[in-house]
Amino acid sequence: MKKLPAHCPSCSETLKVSQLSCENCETLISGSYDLPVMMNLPREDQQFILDFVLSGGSLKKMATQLKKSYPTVRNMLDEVIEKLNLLKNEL
Amino acid sequence: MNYKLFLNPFERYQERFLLSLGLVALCVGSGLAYLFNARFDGVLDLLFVPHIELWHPFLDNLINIACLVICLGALSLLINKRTRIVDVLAVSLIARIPYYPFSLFNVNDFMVNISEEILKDPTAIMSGGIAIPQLLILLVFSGLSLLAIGWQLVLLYKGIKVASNGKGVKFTLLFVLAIIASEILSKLLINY
Repeated sequence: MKKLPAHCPSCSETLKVSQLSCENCETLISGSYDLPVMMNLPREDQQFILDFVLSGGSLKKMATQLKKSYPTVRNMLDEVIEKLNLLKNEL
Repeated sequence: MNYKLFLNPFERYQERFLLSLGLVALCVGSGLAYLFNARFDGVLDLLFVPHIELWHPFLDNLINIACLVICLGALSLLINKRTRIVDVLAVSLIARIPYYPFSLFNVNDFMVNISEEILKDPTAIMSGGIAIPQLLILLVFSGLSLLAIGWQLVLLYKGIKVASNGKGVKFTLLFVLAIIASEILSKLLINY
């Protein structure tokens, strides 16, 4: 799976979505759209959020899946929340 | 085997396993201490005595663990209100493990006898009043006990860091204060 870049490789500025396309009818939409906050997180944090939602928000289930202790997984969640709050304030 | 697990098992293992291991170790360690006349007269202390009752080492260990839980629990809740006391208890139980095997040094009251000899004549070490093999065992005991204290402190530090998500200089300073407080509190309670 290709990794969607969130920052400019040249100046590190946050990237914007400028074009969307339909693969079926080849319609192109141009504009300037912000990337969702979550897309600005590192890939492993996005995966963590996905796993968390899919496990029904259970840190205990997550701990079993990740083979880590409960407080370690809770700390990982706290760090993701901290990053999301920072990104939210930046945007 | 991953050596990191010996320094920080708290990231990997669930509290139920850590509590069970800690409790079994507490019973075995207290039993050994009774058999070999050892007292744990403080969070960071070990003392050999001529005579001991069965309940002494158990009570010593329970007081030490309670003091660690009170002081480190207060620190953890100050740092992070979502800290679970069960995690602090697991850390306190596991961190005691490096101390337990040291009772074995007092086989046939070896450490009590050598301590008495040194207390009678403090110059005996320098003047050759103590046999070389005894001196060597004493040196090995001293070296290993320093390592055990270091190991215990690393376990406590890393464990509380995981339990409370503590970071930075403030956390480290508060941790040092909590350890000193738990040492003083345990000394006072055990010698009361």
